[in-house]
Amino acid sequence: MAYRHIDPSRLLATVGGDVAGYRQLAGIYLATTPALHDQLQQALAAGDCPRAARICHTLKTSVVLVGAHEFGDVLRALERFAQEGEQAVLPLACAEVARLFALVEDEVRLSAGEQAGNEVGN
Amino acid sequence: MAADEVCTTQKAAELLGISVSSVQQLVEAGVIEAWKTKGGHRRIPLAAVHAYKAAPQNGMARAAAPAAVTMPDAHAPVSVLVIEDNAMQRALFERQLAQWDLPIAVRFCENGYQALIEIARSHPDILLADIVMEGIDGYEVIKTIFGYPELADMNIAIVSSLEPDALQQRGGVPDGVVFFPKPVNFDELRGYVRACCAQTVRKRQRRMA
Repeated sequence: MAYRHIDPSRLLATVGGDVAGYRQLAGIYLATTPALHDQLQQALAAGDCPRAARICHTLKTSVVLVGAHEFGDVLRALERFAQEGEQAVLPLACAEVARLFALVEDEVRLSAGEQAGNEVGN
Repeated sequence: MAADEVCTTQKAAELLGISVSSVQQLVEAGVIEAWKTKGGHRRIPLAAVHAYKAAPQNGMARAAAPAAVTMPDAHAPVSVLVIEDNAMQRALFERQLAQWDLPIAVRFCENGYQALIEIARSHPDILLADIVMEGIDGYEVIKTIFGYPELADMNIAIVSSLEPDALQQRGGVPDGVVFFPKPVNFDELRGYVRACCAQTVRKRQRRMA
């Protein structure tokens, strides 16, 4: 399958090509990022700059690991706005963050299944 | 004490910006004063919470006051403490460090509070610290370590994806601390930890001589 929002080769390279390692880390992504995303949505909607900056930073670490470059760039920009106290900008980003989060999450889930298939095939 | 002068563990956690379990740890460690109701619920004086928040250095100092630690055998595993709030990054650290074939014993902390308690308990030889974390951040942990001469030998590295200018705004990389950007180049980090291991063994041998 062609991925548009993540680059599975990025995470696979990080774990040295180990499919089990890929699935473990993809599983952690799927288990931990929804709560971070919920917290980020609350912080953005409230224009809470310090909280938004911190959560963008933490979520960005996971997003970059799965090779979600576009989402990573959005979080990086938002983190910067939040660090500079651009409170008014934050609520405007809610919808785009939700859209990208859902697209990336779907592809991470798909890729974990695909890697499992590759493991069985091997 | 009037009801409006005390708060629950949950409220204290909100006021301090840390988890409920971190507050419980601080209470259990005697860092923050508290008592229990007949029903077994903790009650914390608001004054104690505000004093802790207003004087984090004092609070941390008490939490991190280093205990006397027995000098390990020269060839005992070198202790590494990783502070990282991102679960995925922690799993990656755990996986990589286990594959390095180095004489290390690794422990993980999810936040600065846990880290200060662990540092006070075990005096790790090497600290790999994330910076941006809820509550006490990596800088505050490092600043606290610098306040104790008995922790001066600790090898400290910052591992962070902070942009260079954001890092500078926070005071840059302290003297004597090494910086590794994220995504982590684990080959470089292995080289650093390997060198720290060799230095730690030499240091122990000198002390035992």
